[in-house]
Amino acid sequence: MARAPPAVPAAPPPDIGHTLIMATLQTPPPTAGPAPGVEGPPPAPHRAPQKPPGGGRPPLAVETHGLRKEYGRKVAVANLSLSVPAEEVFGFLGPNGAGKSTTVKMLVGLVRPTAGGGSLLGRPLGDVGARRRLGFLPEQFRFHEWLRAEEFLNFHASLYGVPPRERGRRIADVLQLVGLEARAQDTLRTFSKGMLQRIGIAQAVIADPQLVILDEPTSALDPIGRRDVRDLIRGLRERGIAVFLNSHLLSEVEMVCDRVAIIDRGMVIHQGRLAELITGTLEAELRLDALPASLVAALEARWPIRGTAGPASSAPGADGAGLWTLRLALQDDADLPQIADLAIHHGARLHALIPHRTTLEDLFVQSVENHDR
Amino acid sequence: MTLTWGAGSLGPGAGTLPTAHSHVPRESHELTITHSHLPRESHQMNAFVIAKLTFREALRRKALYGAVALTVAFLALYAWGTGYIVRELDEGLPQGLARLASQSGVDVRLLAIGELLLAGLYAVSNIAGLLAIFMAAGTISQEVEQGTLQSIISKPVSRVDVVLGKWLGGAAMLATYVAITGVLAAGIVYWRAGYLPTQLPLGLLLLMLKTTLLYSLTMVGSATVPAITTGIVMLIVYVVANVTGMIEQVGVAIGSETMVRIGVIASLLIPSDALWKMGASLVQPPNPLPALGIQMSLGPFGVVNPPSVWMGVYGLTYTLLALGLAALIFSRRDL
Ligand SMILES: Nc1ncnc2c1ncn2[C@@H]1O[C@H](COP(=O)(O)OP(=O)(O)OP(=O)(O)O)[C@@H](O)[C@H]1O
Ligand SMILES: [Mg+2]
Repeated sequence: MARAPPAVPAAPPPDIGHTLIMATLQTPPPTAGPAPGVEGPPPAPHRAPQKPPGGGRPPLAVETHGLRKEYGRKVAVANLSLSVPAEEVFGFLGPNGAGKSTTVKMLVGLVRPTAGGGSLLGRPLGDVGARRRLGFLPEQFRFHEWLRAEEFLNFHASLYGVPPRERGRRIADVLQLVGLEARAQDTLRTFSKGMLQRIGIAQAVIADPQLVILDEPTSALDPIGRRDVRDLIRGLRERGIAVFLNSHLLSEVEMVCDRVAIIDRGMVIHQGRLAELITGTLEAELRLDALPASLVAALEARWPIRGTAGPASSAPGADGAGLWTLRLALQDDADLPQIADLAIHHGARLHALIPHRTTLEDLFVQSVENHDR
Repeated sequence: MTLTWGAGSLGPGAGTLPTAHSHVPRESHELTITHSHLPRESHQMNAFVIAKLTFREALRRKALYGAVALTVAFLALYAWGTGYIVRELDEGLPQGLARLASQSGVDVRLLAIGELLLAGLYAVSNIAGLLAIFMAAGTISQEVEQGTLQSIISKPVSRVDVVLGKWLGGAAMLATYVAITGVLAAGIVYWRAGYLPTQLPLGLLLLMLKTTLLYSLTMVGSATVPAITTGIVMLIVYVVANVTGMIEQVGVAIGSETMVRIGVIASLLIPSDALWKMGASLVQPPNPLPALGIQMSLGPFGVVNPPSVWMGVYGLTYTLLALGLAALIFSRRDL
């Protein structure tokens, strides 16, 4: 995550005047924490500008109950109940055809639910006013190709009711945000696919949203663009903006999401805080030539044993044949040397000590396969 | 170019986007914007935003270049031909006709020139009618198929705004076309022959209504089925409306009640030809034949029995109902 500072020349940026003006306008800065990262400390506490002064939980950004969509006989979404807290990043996962895009389309008013309902930013689904603070990047990002990038953003800003005098600045800001400032005067027809996805992200965030729904926002992006989108999502969250992210890139989801739901065949099969869903995520696998009872007792005293296998259980000639295998649940990588010390202390020879991290991918694959059974 | 991605900032609400490299001193990268407004709760404005886009699209897409080029060519030929025809008329009428004219006191020159003007307007009316069908057939369905509406409907824009906006934009475009070409055609006749009907503005207004009616009706199809289906169906409907309109004229002349009834029923179903007749009857010179007991128009473009003003009211109601139906259908459609 930690990106090396860009090779910025010592000279001030070209738009220094702009920057200075903006700096003087600055209101109290958001909590400046260390950049949230995979293995870094937990994300800095979120700034919460919308929280009611009396405290209490912020309202949900999205809530659905029993949401269902049938296309003729085909059930695209069966029965979906979701709660997406405000000011969090929500990962919405599921295999192809699970109903993710259909759900999102019901949320943003493109598709009418067959049954069930819900709310978006505190207003019932389908309410036009709620979309004032909603940004959306469709899965199929097709736009009016005959418009120039700047005209396109101007049009979309005006649909949000952004006053004309404010649009120019916002257009410049979002173009810079997605790295397309040099293409402002080009028609979208001349854009590459990734550039279209970028301009699609720009229109989703142009009007100070409270909730941004992104349906596979990085499907067409280069690796740098993907990382940039991750940074953008973290930036949105830091500003207290909820993000609803459809994605198949689970490593990406793991990096940015506070909470995930995994759906399959139109139903939620897992929903919760990411940290809780993949708790006890670290496992150590030990391979030993012997397994004295004293060692087992000593290990067990500190770490739950997840499983043991004797030398007979592995095929001759296979990796680790003739060895004992033991799996421990760890809290911390730092425990690994202690495990090694204990093994040696109790007279066992340690052939391997392998840390395994349960990933979101493991959880995804397991739960979808179980569900499909 | 991507280094700037995380470095910009957004929106009012003092929004600050942390940079991709947010450990860099913040002041150097943050843009903070004063909280200046919350968008007003008026999304009826959005119909106008969409109308403007529709109008601009019609101008910008090269599809209409052909129509404009051919219209210019047509008007040039029309001016050239009208000049010759008027010169021929002024050189004298064929003997038989001259005798008939002097006996009955009919101004044959005026009638011929009126017929010429009607011919020009008939061309304008039909070109505009076809343009209406072609423009409206894809206006919703193509955007649904391409998915360009997804990023629009997910904004504070109601489905009605979209239909109304597209209708306003298209109707404005077509009305402009009818106004410009209609006035040019009438101007050419006035320049060459000195004939200018006083009711021309009302006549052109009725042509605009006819065009808008076709546009609205085609939008009902566009909200429902693919553009090609709508286009084909509407072309057939339009041709049938024109033909039944002629049948009605013939029926009046030969006294066939059945033919007249066919025409009346057809014009209730699709009032496009009836609106043309109303407009044409306002710009044609007074027809002397009915006074002589002959229920015929002079020439193919003239009108012998113009519909009553109620047809105008009916056409307007029809147009608005079709628009409402298009909005209703589109509101229920999944995108
Ligand atoms: N317009 C439609 N008509 C009929 N069936 C549809 C329609 N749209 C979606 N479906 C069906 O609904 C199911 C869910 O589709 P959806 O696009 O929501 O899946 P998804 O989870 O977004 O998949 P992916 O990961 O591939 O994007 C699929 O089986 C699909 O075939
Ligand atoms: Mg999808």
